[in-house]
Order: sequence, then structure tokens, then C-alpha cells
Amino acid sequence: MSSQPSEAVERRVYNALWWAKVQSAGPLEIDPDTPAVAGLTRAASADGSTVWLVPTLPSGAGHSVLEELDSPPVAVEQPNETARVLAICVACCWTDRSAPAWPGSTGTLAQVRSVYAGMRGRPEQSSDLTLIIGSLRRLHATHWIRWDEKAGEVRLGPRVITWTAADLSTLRDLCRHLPEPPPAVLSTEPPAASPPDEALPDDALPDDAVSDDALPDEALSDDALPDDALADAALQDGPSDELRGEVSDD
Amino acid sequence: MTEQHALFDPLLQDLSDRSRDEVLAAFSAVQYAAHPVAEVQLAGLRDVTLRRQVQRMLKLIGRTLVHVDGTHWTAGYDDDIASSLVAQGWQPLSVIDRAVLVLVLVHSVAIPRSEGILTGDSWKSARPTTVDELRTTRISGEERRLALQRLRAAGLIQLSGDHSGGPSYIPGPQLQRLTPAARRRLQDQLILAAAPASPIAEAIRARTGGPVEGEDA
Repeated sequence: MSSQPSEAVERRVYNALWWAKVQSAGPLEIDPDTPAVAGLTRAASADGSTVWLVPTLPSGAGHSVLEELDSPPVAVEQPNETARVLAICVACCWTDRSAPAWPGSTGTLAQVRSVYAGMRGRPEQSSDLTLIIGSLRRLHATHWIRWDEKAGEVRLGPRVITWTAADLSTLRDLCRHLPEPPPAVLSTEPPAASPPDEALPDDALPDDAVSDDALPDEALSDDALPDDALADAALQDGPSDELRGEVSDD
Repeated sequence: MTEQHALFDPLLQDLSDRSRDEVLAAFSAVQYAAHPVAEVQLAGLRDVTLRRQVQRMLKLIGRTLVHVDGTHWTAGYDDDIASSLVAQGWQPLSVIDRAVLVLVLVHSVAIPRSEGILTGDSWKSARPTTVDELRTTRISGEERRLALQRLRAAGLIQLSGDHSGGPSYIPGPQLQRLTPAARRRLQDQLILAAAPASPIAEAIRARTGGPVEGEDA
């Protein structure tokens, strides 16, 4: 008979395979010539050189349902700290707030550190950097941001292209509550007062020190605590409670 | 205001508003909840007609409903899609992450199962794998720590409640997303890797028609 039914089947399999890939690996960097996949949107980087496939869902589907069911998604480690650092990245990288958040601009670790300290309402403490880097790595691994550890620079990740107008308006309010980031000093620009590299000397910050499992296995590392205990610990530190209130206050 | 969705709209547009909401809620629950959800909790799972719509939605994205313990549902990769991806060489986990995951599965599931302590074909287990059991000369301590962190974030392993002897791990909730065929493939691969000369390995090779002798696992 005609080739139409098999074309439809082929297209269905093509779509399903791409969806399965995106589900198993997160938003995927693709060849810009890749034909469209139904339901997956394309996020192109600012210079157009890189394109990601990002899943979209119909309204009424997604994580919001889980709260009503009291059936949480896979837990994020250090959830409050991670959410706080994501909010700071949004404030640093979404500079033109009248435009969509994607692709945004490049922010720096120096900016993130400065807003973080301002958010806590005190000078930076030595433990802050460990928490910040841990959160940046977690957010990078899940494609919420793109964190270039060598350059000490951060951009928003392709996932943010799915933020709706309503999400953006909430985030605009949130950014207004955060301390204003200092101007970004990028590594590609002439060196200035505080080069981002200074922020992350390799010897001062071995990988061990900034990973979640900061201590050897034998010692009592985060590893030894169930996620719930971590979440509780994060909830118990005073200033973050206030911040959480502020952050979720729309 | 409902935005168009190129993939799901053809399926959803014929449903009443109420059915649509129930189907989308059930779809989201099986896709995004960390653990399987109880059938009684959601009309989209209880009602056979609505559940068929959920299954159709999942099929469009290479997924399928997986029944757990007869009372709960979750979603996993469709067997045909999974085998196509494997044939394409698709592998989102690094070789170290897979090695660490396999060690947890061997100690927490395969060994207790061979001892008759665990029954059934589930990959759920309360028998913790200790960090000592994860030590191997082939993987450095740092590599192992980072792999454990990634596997935990992905829900493939989780910390066991018992940390009397230091941190220990059990298989994570994602393992419950395996279809019956995927659970069997995983069991076969572990047997082939652990005891390639055993009669049971011989039987697996005969059944699957493969001359594979302890391939990657």
C-alpha cells in the first residue's frame, strides 16, 4: 500500500528515541541540522553555535502534581543551598529582565560570591565557597546552569528556555529582593581589580574540599547522613530560613 | 489558557477537561515521582480507560507503565526503545559509574538472592553495600566518591538507613522502573559476568542465543 503509514511509524519511533535520550541524559547538545522532534524545543546559545533539545510538557503536567500527591521527586542534595545559588545565578546572568532568561549573559564566580554574602547579610566566610561550588556543580550536572570551573564563569542552562511568562514574572520579583550583583569581570576581558581566577586557586581548593563528600569515607562525611538529615540541617540554619521566605515570597 | 503541545495534543484533545487533568496527573506522577505511586491514589491509574491513555502518552516518548507489587505504578523505558538505543551505542552513564552501580547491585541484590535471602525478581533490597565492599584497585577513592555522588543524584543508589559501620548504599528507587524484561536482562548479565562457566550461565546463553562470554557488565 502507500508509504504513509510506515512514515508515520518511523516518525513516532524517531520522536520516541529522541525523547528517551533526553530523558536519560538531560537536555542534549545536538547538530543544528537535526530535524525537529515533536515536543522537544530547541535552545540555541547566544552566538548560535550550540543547540540543545529540551523537553516541554503540556500545561497541567509536570512536577507540580507531585506536591498534591505527597510523592516527592528524586531528592536534590542540599536543596536549600542549591536553590539559593540557582536564584543568584539567575540574578547574575539574566541582566535584561525585559527579555526572556534564555540565553542571558555570562556571570562570574566573583558576582555569585558577592550576592551570596549580601544575601546572608554578612561578610563572606571561608565555608561559603565550598557550599557555592558544590551547588554550582550540582546545577551544572542537571543542566540548570553551565558552569565553567576553569574560567570561574557561569551561564544559565538550556532548561531555563521552558520558563513561562508567569515563571519569569515571579523570578523578576525574586531578583529585586536579592542584592545587586557587582559588574561582571570576564576572563576574556582585560584583567581588572578582581580577576575571577583568583577566586579559585587549584591548591587552595582541591576537588575533595568542594565535593559533597568532602571527607574521606572513613570520616563522617555528608555521605554518612541520609538526604533527609541534610535537608533538615539546611533548614535549621537561621539566615537561610529568612531567605527562603524571601525567595518564595511572590 | 492551554498552549499547544505538538506531541501530546492529538491524544489529549479528544478527552474531556476532567479526563485530561486526570491523565496528565497520572502521567506526571509515574514519570516524576521518585517512587512508584499507589493505583488507588489517582483516577488516571485506577480507571482502565484513562490508564490506557496514560500508557499511550508514555509510548510517544519511549516509555511504558511498569506495575510494581500489584498495587503501584511507575514508568520505565519501553523495551523496544531501550534495545534500539543500546544498538545505537547510547550510554549516558560513564564506565566508572556503571562499575560502581554494578558493585552495589552485586552486594545488595545478587549475593542475597543467591543465598535465598531475597526472593522475586525485584532490584529493591535493604541489604546495604558498605564502602569497604566498593573498594577496588581499579577505581580510585576520588573517582568512586564522585561516581557515588552522581549515582545518588540520579536515584540509582541511595544511602542505606544503617550507617553504624560508616556510609553504606542500597539500590535507588530508579531500579523499580525496570520492566520485567529489563530486570531479567540485568540478572542475566550479572550471572554471565560473575559466573561465566556455570551451568546457569550456559542456560542463559542458550536461551538468548548469544555466544557472549562475560561481556561488559
